[in-house]
Amino acid sequence: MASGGSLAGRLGRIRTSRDEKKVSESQNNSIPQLKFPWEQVKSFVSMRQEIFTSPFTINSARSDVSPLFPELKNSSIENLLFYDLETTGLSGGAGTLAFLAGFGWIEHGKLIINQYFLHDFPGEIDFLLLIRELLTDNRILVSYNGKSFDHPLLRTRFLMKGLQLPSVSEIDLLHSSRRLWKKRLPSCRLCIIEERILDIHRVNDVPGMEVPDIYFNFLKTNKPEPLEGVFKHHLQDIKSLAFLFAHMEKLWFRPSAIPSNDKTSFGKLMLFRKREEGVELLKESFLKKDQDAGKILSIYYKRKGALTAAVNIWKEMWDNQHELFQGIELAKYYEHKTKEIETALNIVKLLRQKESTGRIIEALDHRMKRLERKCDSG
Amino acid sequence: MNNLKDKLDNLASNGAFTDNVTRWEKISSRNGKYKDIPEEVFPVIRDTLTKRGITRLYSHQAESFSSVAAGENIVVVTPTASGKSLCYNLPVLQKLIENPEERALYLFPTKALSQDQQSELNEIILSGEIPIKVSTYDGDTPSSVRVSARESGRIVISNPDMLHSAILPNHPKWIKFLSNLKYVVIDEVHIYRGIFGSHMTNVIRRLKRIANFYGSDPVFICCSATISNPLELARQIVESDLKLIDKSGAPTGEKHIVLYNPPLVDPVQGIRRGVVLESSKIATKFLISKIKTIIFARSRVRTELIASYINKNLKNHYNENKKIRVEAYRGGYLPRERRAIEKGLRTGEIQGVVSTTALELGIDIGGLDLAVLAGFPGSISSVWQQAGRAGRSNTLSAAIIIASASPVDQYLVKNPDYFFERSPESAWINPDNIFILLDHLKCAVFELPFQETDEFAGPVSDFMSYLEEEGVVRLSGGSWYWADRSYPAEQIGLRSASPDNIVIINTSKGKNEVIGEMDLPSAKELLFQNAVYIHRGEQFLSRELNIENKCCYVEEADLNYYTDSIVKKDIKLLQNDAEELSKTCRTIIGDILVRSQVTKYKKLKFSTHENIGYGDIYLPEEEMHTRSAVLVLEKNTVSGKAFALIDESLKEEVIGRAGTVLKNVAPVFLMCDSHDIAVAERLKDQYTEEPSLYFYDSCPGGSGLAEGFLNKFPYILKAASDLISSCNCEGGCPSCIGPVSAKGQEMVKGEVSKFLKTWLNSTMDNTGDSV
Repeated sequence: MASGGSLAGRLGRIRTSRDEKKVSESQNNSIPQLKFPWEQVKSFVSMRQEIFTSPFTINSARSDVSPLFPELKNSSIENLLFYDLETTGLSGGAGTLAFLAGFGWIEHGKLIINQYFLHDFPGEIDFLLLIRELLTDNRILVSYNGKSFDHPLLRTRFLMKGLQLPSVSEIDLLHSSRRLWKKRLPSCRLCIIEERILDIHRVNDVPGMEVPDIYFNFLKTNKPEPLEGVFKHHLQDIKSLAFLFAHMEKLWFRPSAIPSNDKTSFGKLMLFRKREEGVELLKESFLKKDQDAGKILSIYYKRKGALTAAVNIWKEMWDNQHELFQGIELAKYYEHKTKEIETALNIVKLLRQKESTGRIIEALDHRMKRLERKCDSG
Repeated sequence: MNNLKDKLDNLASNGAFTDNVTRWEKISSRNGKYKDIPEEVFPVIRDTLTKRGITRLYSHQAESFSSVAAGENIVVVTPTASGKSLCYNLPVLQKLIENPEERALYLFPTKALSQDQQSELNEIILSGEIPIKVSTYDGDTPSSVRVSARESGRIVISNPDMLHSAILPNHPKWIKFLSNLKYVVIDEVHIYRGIFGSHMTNVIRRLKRIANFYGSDPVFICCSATISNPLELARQIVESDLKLIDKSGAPTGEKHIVLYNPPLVDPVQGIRRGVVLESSKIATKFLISKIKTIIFARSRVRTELIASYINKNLKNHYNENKKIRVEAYRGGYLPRERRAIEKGLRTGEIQGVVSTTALELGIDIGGLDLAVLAGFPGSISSVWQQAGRAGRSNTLSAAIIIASASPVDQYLVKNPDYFFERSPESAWINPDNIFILLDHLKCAVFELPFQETDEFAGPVSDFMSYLEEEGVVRLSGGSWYWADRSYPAEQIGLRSASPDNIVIINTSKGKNEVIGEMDLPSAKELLFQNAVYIHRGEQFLSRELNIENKCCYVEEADLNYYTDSIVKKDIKLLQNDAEELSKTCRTIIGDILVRSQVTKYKKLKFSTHENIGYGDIYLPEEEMHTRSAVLVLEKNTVSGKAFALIDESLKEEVIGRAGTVLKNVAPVFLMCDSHDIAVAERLKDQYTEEPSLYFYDSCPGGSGLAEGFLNKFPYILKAASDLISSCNCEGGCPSCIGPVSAKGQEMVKGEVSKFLKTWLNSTMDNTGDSV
């Protein structure tokens, strides 16, 4: 190739043209030291421990383990490890790392939370080793969206340092929250759950979006004050996890305390977990005209062979509203069980008039033709 | 096939046609050179090959097999349809069966090619019992399949863009794959030239770095079309030694190559019949006889024009039931539109296709008999690739190359030896383009911190301190770490200088439908407000080009003209990197600043191309740093003295015309498009204070073309001089120095010719090089 400027020369030129436009931010390469009372446990890692009253009111030694979280079988509340990470980026990838990790557990009626803070990149391996110490075999991790974000990120960090992340089972409370509250909350983000379910109201909370920049600023300036907000935010995240878990448990064991607008989703989840208490919750909801409760309950009865109970629900729902679900169920019942073909046909005709979705119309027409045939021949 | 023979005979005896043929080359058929399938090849592979009718190998396939088996990096250079994919599939499959942990990565420049390769491999694997899982990993791969590709794909087929933006930044997820990565196949390596190639080297640097991190050191298998420097290019891309395998053992059928120069309409002004109409006419002749034909056009607009002309011609000749279907095919179509056309060609439902280079790469469209090239495709290797589209192994095929009025075309059609006898064109890249390098250094440090002493295109510490000043990396404890919240690969595209694509939206009759995409610089020149944009033969009128929101709203239109924009440019030399004074001229290589603005557009009537009006364009100015070669016609050098002799009143014209001719023929030697390199002529340059010619790279930071230009300058100068002497026009035409209309300029052509000749002679004396 013909002569070309050396790379350093080109770099110098674009540096000059850039520096004309902006003054580079001041840099600080010294090892950041935190001024507040955290214990420096490794050369680049600090730790603090906070102790709170345990949110779990039920005797933790009880034998009745909540089937809400089947992972807890053969374990107790004290095996839970509530955790959360704060990271340097939100899109993942090998260049995103965790700089703050918190773990909380229940011990002697207390909620103990350890927070580990990474002052600078070279300490990451120590930071990860400290985390690994906590991840013993008997632990069950509890997170909020950890299965999709925090856990894979930790696995990546461990891999990059040539370490193996111990395999520990995990309960992701985001999934449970969605099951219970998706229908009535605008979203199931942790802050919404706190406000609407746990009655926890954060004051001057640092938005998650701003966290990475606060950390990078700290690395550049060595001024730890703005981090206080991040630490507080992070501590609250872990506390909320424990409180949310306790809240779900409490409601599970005391269904009478479940707010009326959550009875359907709790009942549904209980039935899904094979707990008969769900039936009572659904009945209560259905009494208050909750159609979803009627659907779930009737299907439950039908599967159990309690057809009369199911039919009663469908009839009540049908009297209330000529909707597809109850209509079809009744039509099937009249056609196949009681052989009241004409009654079935009338129901299907009513449904057909109201329906506008092509696929459903097709199915209804099919059913209608069959019924008409039976009508004629009978 | 006799159909084609009849047609060709017919044409050969047609004086009106042959009068315009500058060369009718008959390449006779050639027998294949075969080797037995090596003994160690597993029976399971052998059986599969037998089922596909392969009982022995072509010599180059056998050579590839033994080289790869011996752990050598190779670059295979053989013509189209020579069984190239077996050169990598055979050794890779063999080795992967032998060593059940090993994995291979196949990189293709386009998604379409990956899909093609996946289906070919699947055929091989499914027809036998070969226990190798092949997974495609590209933008269209659903996330459920992605996990299985990472975990259990033994061969992963992907493209450089995915490697760059998805695989490398998430390498810990690929640990299984990367720690066992043994083979990397890079097909169509000649495509990785210019900006794309400069990015590619850096992506491969990153791949090797991560592979080493996981303890693997893959063998590279590259394939290239015929260029003069395949080995050099492959070496620049993989930065390792490779073995060149370039003797094809594949048989070829008889092939006719016809060079056709459309007749002069106006000999004085040197105006010829247009390539669009001529190629439509010639292609129609063959299509009527149901000869499967592909027509290659040089631009998207021409693709659409030719397709519509042919369809019009056919409509006049044929009734409905003899319907012959001809489709246009080009970039900017949506993938499903493309797949439908490819399929139609394979099944025979479509008899003719008019395409840009989009179809040049090995996409399977079944056998074709004739290729019509509407204009030279810019490089000799492209000519052979496009011509190779017609005819598979043993059948007669033909390629008719129709020269346009462009200087490159005119040079090549009048100097057919250049075309048939040697291939001086070579591919240029500039992996150390500072902008590209810095972009990839960001990605690399994101992927894995750098130690202070690490190297990546040289010691990293200078670059890292630069990035530290930018605030995106941090030095701590002797290592550089990525220290920014962003995901750098996301903002870096490999194919163009700017990542901003404009989405084209059809808003006719309340529609809101995306019909295509275009990069920003092209969009400024093609989609400005009131531009006529042609898509799949449909005309659209641009209503609004919204640069901020990266979209352009167009409406269907029915107009009798198309549009062409006029760009104004201003240049400043920022830094003189290297300077050389010879007795012929002074040359400088350096960095320049180019300011450009699209200011006006012309309206040109369809068919006649006559100018029927102007309009203004209001778009913001673009600024670009790039590399340039500068030729200074200094007083006491030969070129300077020759220039000084020219009459004052003609000087500006002469330097302008000379620059244009040089720039116009340069792509023949540099394997670039004519718009990849630009020229600016200065009668008295503010920096050199002498008459000067700037030849600069159109891509920010440069893609190797400025350096390539100086390297090839003696050839370029000779081609420019030859072009003017061989042009029969009187005082200048679009095919040589451009048309001369103003009074008192009749002398210009002679002056330019004399000037370039004097310069050329001294250059040859100087270098002792008999160009």
